Amino acid sequence: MKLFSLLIFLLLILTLKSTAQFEEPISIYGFTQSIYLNKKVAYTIKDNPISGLPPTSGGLESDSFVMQQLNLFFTRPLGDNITFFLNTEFTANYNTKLSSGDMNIQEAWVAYRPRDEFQVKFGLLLPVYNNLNEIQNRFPLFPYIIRPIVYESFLEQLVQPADYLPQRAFLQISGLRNISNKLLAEYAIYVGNLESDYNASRAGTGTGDSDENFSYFRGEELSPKNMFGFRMGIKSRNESFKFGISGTHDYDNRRTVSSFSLARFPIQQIPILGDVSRYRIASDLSFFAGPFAFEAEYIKVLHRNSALMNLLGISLDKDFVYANLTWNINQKSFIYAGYSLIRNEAFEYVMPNSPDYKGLNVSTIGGGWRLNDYIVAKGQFVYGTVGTNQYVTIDTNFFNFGLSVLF
Amino acid sequence: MVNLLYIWILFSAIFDAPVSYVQLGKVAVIVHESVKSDELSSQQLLDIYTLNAQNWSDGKKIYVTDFKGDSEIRTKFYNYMSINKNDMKRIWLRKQFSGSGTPPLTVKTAEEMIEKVLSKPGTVGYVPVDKIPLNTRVIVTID
Repeated sequence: MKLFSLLIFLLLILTLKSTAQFEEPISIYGFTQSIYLNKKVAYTIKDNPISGLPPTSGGLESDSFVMQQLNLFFTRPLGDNITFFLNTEFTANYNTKLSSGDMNIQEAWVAYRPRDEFQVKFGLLLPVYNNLNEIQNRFPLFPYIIRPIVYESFLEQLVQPADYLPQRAFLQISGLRNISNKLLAEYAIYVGNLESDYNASRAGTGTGDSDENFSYFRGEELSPKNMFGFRMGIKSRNESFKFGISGTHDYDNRRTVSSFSLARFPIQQIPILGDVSRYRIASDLSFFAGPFAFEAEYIKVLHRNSALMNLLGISLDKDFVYANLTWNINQKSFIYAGYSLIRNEAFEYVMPNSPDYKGLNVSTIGGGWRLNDYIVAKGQFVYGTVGTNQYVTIDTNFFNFGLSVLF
Repeated sequence: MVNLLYIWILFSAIFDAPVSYVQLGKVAVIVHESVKSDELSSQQLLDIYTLNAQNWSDGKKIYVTDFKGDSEIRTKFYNYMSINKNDMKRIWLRKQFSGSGTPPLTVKTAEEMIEKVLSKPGTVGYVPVDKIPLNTRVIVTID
């Protein structure tokens, strides 16, 4: 399948018109968001014979300032209908000397757009999936500081985004079509690797090596399978209304038990399920009505085709929903309220009353002030509860202030 | 907390007072002579300025020019397309950050706009009718 994708791309390359004009210079722009973050976590763990965790309670509080993220974008036209795009990202006070934060290349692709109905992108890219995925790390586009749960990298230890979102694609075909005076239809289809759990953790030849997780280069995806996805939607011409449905198919790596599972359920015999076929089905809706802006998404994750799962009656299915309503008081200021919810059935077979049973609920309110076209000051309060049951209660508060700066 | 909200709203209202405009004559949408289209509807212009349309009907790339800041002519042109400046800015920002479009080249004067449109194939812009030099292609006139 990877070979097939490559062949399609090479055929498209052959249709490109050569150009000797490189009149337009490279454009460099970006944004940064720095925040003050007050975080409080209160937890109670009662005697639980299933998890083996000792009874305890306590809390954590931290006050910190952090440069949450800085993105640098580079674009350059490489001909009339060809564009190169590079998106680099630095997070959490990135500093190699202090082992702080991360730097990564989020996207690096070339797009060829001979017609508005047809565009092909090849390279590392964030695929079109629901409304937020393609722009999930572009803070100046959002009213909030802490994003809806599955999009928030701060919560990666709690929620693994790859369980809900396609992470990267490498070939995407998309386009727009006029369907009425008011509406445009849009589509995107793409192919990419499976989740990063399948990647080689180190390079090597494997000679005399019992570790299977190696390859010729670190990060190579070792599976012969691919992730496929699509989005189809409609939007108004002035983009005040947008609706779409999205879907992907890939595999959930259950070849080993994750350390995450072991930490939560140390004495349990957690079954090895292998490669579990996974479908993500999603829809998104966003619109403006006067001074109000509403956005919402729903994601259903289905796992299928594992005989062992059927035998054991195991479900790994997940749901995610979020909604956010923003009131633009005027051109400068806004306030908003949002809610997101995760229900994850993955651990219920291990512990029927696990904290995940009632899901992870996050409510948030906040506001902001656009100082000018380049600077937005934001404030946000987030309240999250990780289930509530006879064994565990976890409550979390985040109180944030920040500045988003475009440059 | 409620008082704080009122103060915020009041503060915002003071600093965000609307700007009044004087009357402007006709506005002409002009294109480079290489553009093959003879006319554009307001929807097509909206598609071009929102960067949803990036190619002319013959496949050539569209280059868009616009005026900087607030001006009477910009307001009139945006009204013709039934969109406001802030919505347009939001659309451009999303397209720019996702790599799916480059916001228009902005200029300060009609003379600059004319110079940009005439010098680069595929370019579109808009200027007051009385500023148009001879032999300029006009495809829309807005009253």
